Amino acid sequence: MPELITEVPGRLFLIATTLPLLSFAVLIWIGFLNRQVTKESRIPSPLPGYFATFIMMLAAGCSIVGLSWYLQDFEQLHDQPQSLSARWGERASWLHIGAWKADTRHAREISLGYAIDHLNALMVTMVTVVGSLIFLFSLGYMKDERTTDYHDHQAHVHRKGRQGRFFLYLSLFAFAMLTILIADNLFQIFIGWELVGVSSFFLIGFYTERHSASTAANKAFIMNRIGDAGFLIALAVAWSHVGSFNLDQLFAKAPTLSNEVLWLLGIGLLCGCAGKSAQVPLQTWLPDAMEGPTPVSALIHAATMVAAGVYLVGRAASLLSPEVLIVIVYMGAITMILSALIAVVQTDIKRVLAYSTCSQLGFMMMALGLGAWTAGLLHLLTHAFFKALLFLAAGSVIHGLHHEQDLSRMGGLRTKMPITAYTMLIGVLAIAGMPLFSGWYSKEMILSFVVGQAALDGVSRPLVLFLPFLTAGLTSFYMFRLWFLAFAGSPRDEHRYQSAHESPWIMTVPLLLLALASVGIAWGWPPGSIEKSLLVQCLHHAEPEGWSSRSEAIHLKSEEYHWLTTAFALAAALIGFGLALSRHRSGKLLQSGLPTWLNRLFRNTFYFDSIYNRIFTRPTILIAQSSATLDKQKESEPFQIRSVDGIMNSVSDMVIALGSGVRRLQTGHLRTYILALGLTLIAGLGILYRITR
Amino acid sequence: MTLLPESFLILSAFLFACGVLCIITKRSAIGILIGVELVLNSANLNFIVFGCYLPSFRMDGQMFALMVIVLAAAEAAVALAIILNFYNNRGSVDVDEANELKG
Repeated sequence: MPELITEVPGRLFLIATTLPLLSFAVLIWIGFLNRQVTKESRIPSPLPGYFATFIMMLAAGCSIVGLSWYLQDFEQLHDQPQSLSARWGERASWLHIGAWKADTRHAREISLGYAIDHLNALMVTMVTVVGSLIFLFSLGYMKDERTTDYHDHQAHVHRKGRQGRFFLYLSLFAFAMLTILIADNLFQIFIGWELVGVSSFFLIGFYTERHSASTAANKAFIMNRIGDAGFLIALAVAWSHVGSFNLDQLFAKAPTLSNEVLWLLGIGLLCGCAGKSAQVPLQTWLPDAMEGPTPVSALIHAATMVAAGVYLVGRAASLLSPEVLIVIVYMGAITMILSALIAVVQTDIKRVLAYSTCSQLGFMMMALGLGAWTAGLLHLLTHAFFKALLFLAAGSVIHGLHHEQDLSRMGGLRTKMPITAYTMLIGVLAIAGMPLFSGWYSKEMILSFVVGQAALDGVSRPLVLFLPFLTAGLTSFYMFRLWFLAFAGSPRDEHRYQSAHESPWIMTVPLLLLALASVGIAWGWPPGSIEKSLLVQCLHHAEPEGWSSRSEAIHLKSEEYHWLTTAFALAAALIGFGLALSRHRSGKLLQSGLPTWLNRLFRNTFYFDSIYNRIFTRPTILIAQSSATLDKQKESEPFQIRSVDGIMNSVSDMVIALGSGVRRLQTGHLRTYILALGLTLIAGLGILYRITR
Repeated sequence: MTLLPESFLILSAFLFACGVLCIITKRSAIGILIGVELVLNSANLNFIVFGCYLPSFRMDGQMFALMVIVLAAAEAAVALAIILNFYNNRGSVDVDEANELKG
């Protein structure tokens, strides 16, 4: 066993990936056995939860060891990329197609494999660490599911608790995400992609008795499916024009491909990423995904699922042509600003966070589109920690208030739940981009890149220069608004306030650890310098060749405007904070203070949902209903072709008529058969006679 | 006096016709079985005749005749078993009563 790992240490990451699959398999097997054996009345055991959490922590341990080993190895072997990639990646042929004798085309094969570099080593570590903290939190949050009689207050039903099933789905989710991360080919990424989709479907619809939850699950699944159609197109293009799904071969062939092919490939991938990462126009599923339990939201928004889209854009960066990148820039920018504006007027604690995720993802997408590879992915990593923290803190609040999510009924909670309040404050400071918090490093890097690019190329796209700063200000405003509404001031709902309580240690420990990470994950020495940040240096190694030279030039240029950028970014954050504070002081935080039409526009989320409803959902339902009524019409007579059923029935009626005609020939009398035989014989002989003459 | 093969062939054809007629006209299953035996024997006669008159076919003709005899015996055994079962069920051996599979 030790030799297996010391020879190819990349297997550590493979183990980290398959461990959640193992816990999924064990849990599903145990659940199956339990259903056969135990009685209804037995209280469900807590063991599945502990087991899944333990396995996840084991995976986190594996990936941490793997990450540090990789960094060491890279120091020693970075001048021999061959041996490095041999130690940190493996590939096995899985399906071999072509090269038969008659087939003159080249043999093609689909291989399975993994390849570790700085990017996915960091990502796997992030996912497993954040994932195991979320698992730990879920042990506390989902404790009330561990009964035989769970009362769902929203759906008004009594049902059996299903904590085990929750951890089953969580494990599958983690496995799917890790598969995407370590894969070295698009095929495996696609498998992980679909698994992520299906497990998010299960988890969002976890409270399946609630109508809203099952609808949200369907919505998420269908929206993702639209994106996946694009991914499939990209796969088809890769297969037909390159003949392989392996990323290294795709990268090698990319410069030789024609522009149209590259464009189609890029747009297809982009479509998939937009679906997963909830970018305009496929963003509507993400806020609805709040119907799932809060730890699920944390997992979806921080570590798994939405990170996948941004990760894939980063991974496949060399395949994206300039035209595609422009699309990414504008898609990201629009998502970023729209979601930030919507978040300003939301009053549901989870929805504010959901829209902020959307907005931050748009921020990352825009950065990647502009060419800020390191900055965009750094933001993905830091965002994962503070967004997980924010969601878990929100979960802790919801848990403490007995499933109350409305901000207008909170207030003053910091005396009742101090740990949650102050850890969440750290998360808010991080996402607002206050200096020395992890969010500051990534945000500052993206903003300085934006400024540097504008300085280098001229301000050709003023919107892209202006919007990020505006979004940064808005982010700071709505996050502080959230915190003030929930924790500061005096309680708005006395009854709720009285029954509020701090969460047990199993929920606060993950909060504290995540808070620690949200502060210091991007630190280096000295902490004030972004270039010295360890995470930045680490990510920088994985940047694709063509990108790093360009970003180097922009980086040099942006140094000139360094102080200006910092000042503007800080000013935006502080203005947001100041605005939130002043409105909190005057007690007007719940009213938006905007003109009514703007307020209505934001509250209705720019009417995306109702437009989709009008354009797609209702016509579909209309078509379905009309064809159903056509189908249900009585059509007993044959050949009455009025609908699909009519056509089908007329065919079958014809066959029946033919059959009943032929049936008469079978008389059942032996002598008739012999007679027919004899006649046939004579006829046959006659024909033979004529032919031979 | 030498016997011409044609006379044997005519005899064989006569036997064959008798057999077929027997199969067609008889209502009793036993009668049909006898008709089938006649048909088989007419074929056998053909084999023997050609085996006798064609030197190259000598061995083969005799072999085939033996084969047909064996087959006829087996066939008779099977057919009699069927007839016996049929009699047990119906109380008669009239084949016109065996018409349950008609369309």
